[in-house]
Amino acid sequence: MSADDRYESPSGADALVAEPSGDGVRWVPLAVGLAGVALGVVELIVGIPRAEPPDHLLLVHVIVGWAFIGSALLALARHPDNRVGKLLVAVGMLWFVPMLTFSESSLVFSVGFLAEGLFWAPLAQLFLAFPSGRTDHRLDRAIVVTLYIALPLGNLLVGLFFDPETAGCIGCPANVFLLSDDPALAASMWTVDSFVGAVLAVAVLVRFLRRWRNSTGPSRRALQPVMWGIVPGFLAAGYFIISTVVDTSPELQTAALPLVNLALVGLPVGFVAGLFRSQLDRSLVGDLLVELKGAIPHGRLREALARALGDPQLELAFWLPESGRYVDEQGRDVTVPDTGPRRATRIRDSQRRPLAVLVHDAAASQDEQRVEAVASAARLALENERLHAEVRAQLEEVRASRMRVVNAGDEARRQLERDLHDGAQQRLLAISAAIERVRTMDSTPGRHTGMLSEIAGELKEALVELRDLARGIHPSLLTDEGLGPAVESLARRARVPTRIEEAPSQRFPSPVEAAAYFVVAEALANAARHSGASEVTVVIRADEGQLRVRVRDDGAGGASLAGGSGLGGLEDRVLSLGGSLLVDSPVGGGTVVTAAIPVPAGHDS
Amino acid sequence: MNEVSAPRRLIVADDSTLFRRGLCLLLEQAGFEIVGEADNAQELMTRVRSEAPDVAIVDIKMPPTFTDEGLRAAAELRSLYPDLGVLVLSQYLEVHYAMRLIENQVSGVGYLLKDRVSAVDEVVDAILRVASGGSVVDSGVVAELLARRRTINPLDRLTEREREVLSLMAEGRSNHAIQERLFVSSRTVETHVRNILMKLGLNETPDDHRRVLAVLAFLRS
Repeated sequence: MSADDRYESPSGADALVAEPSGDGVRWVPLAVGLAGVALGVVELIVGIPRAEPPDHLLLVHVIVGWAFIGSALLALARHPDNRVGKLLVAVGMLWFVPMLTFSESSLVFSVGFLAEGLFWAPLAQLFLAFPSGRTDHRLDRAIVVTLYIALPLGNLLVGLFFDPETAGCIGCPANVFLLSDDPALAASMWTVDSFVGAVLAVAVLVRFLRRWRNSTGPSRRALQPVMWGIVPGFLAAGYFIISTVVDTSPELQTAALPLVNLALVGLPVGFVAGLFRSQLDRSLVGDLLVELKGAIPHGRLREALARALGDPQLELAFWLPESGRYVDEQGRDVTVPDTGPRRATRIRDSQRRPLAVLVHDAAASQDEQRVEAVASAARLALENERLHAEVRAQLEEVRASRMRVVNAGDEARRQLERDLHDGAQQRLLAISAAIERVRTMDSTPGRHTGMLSEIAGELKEALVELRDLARGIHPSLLTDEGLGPAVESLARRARVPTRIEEAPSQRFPSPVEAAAYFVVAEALANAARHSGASEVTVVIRADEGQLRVRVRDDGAGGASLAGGSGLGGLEDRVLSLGGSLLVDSPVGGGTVVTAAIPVPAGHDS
Repeated sequence: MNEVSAPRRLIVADDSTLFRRGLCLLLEQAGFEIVGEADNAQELMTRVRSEAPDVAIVDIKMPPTFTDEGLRAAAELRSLYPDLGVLVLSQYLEVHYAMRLIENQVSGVGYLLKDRVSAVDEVVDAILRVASGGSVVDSGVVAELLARRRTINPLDRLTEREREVLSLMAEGRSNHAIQERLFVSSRTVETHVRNILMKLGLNETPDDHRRVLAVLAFLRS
């Protein structure tokens, strides 16, 4: 029987679903739908002539089955890879199987008998595994497994001693399982079966209520409709029980029975509603991306991700490669769960290195694509954040550099003012006083001559000081004749013997020339000041769009860009041209100052 | 010393009026005749053409670019007027400028620091030397060359006196001038010069200008 095959082989459906081929995925819901409708129709056709009154009980039964099948189709369509849909299919199919008891074939009748109430097993599994489709707790799994075993076993035990003929079923086919017709034993088996069933039902209910009570976020949103879905069933069941206790008239009982059945419709409705309600809003992921497009304030990423996953308890933990662990924004250790109500989604960077982990509600796992999307967004944001951090650091460096440039400028002005004030200005003042003395002095010729040569001497000194000062500020030679002659001149005046091994004869943009010149000047000054070097060599070479400068001394070493050596100011000058400055100065190993300064393309030298 | 005989007609070119006027007055006082003044190279060329002076005194930097107008004007004047002496006045104590001026000329050019106006004798001496076809290199420039620190300094092989002679050679002075300067005989000077050239590995040359060039090039290397 095809319907049998279909429900007996959920693994087959599983395989089809698991297959990424779109054909399989489309094929399964269609087949399930057709089978469900067919089963219902068959049940009505074969059931109506032989059904016990009231007639509408059968109709209600078919409607409930269709409700499960319908909800299964919705669940499969929305989440083909989630087990909830398959479980709903199983419930729907098992719901219809007992109609086999309408068959006149003993074997088919007996199988139908055995399948009586079997749908409760996948249904209980749904309660305990909803919405992820996976049970989190060992106890839950135990209950589900027990149900799958106990239900058919109970039916079998009853069937061993139950002869439908004796029970008053006229024209019923023979029970193939019948061992011996013993109505009393069958009744006690039935009692035991019912008791075990009731215990398991209570266990399922308790476990479900517990899950519902402890749930938060998406889990709670999923479980809430299921909770509402069982209410009509309870009300109907309560009414049925009360009516049986208060008034045992069969009319009332038969009237209540369809009501109980009908109330079961609340369950598939509840599951589907829960599934859809817990589903992540597509637009939330969109919102997240929009939000992440702008620079997200540091520390607000977790909140944004939590909103997108609808999970306020979401944890975002960052991977620390040094210590190989995950920590949250406050630096606290975060343990990454593998099972249980919280699940982890790991985020890796473009090089597949761990970047962070999202610890989220297990319910979100039912929508793996959505979690993936959020994780991708988080990855973008985190990598973005990393780039931002780099840019911030660079910006900070630029600010600091600007500050240093301003400070260096101020310091240079102060120094210039001091030099002018203490040197040339003092001399000129002395000269003007001397001239005044000559002017007011008696006209003895010899005295004038002495005073005047004194004045001339002072003037000479003032001129020398001014010339040195001017040359230090900016050498005219560099502007007029370029780098080669300017560094030659530097080398000639250097206090440490200096050899220019190589210097380009062509011209470069003046900022490039100035930077190279001052690198040499400062390195020479440094060598003369601190190192006790006996020789300095300078190489300046233009190649590959760069001007490379290397100044090497054989002094004491230990110079650095950081110290107040004046090399630090140079670094800013070189960096501002996009170049680099390196000071290699091991203690006792001499100093090598290397600069690479890019020469703008298209510059004609 | 004011025995200025033949060369006495000068043209002075400098864009600073204050300095130019002061220099002119100083030179007039020293017995020269100022036949023209200019505050830029163009005007200098015109004046030289019309006045045919003995010596042109040229500021190294003049309008419009204030870079090397003086040096270029000097080169042009020397090639146009072989008898004209050109003395470039500069505020820059840079060997490079002096070499650039001297290198391209056969003779009759000089590089003098403006500071020397405080000792008019030096200026007059330089004017007379360039007028007579000699070369002049400022003593400050030469001093800088001699003072240069070297790891292996060939100048260490020279005696104190030889260094003195070398520096006078570098300034562009003839043996005769050196002899007068140092109050020694011409033989002594010749011996010194020969020894110096030998110790420095330089060739002896009868031409004073070539000797200056060779000495300067050696000191510079």
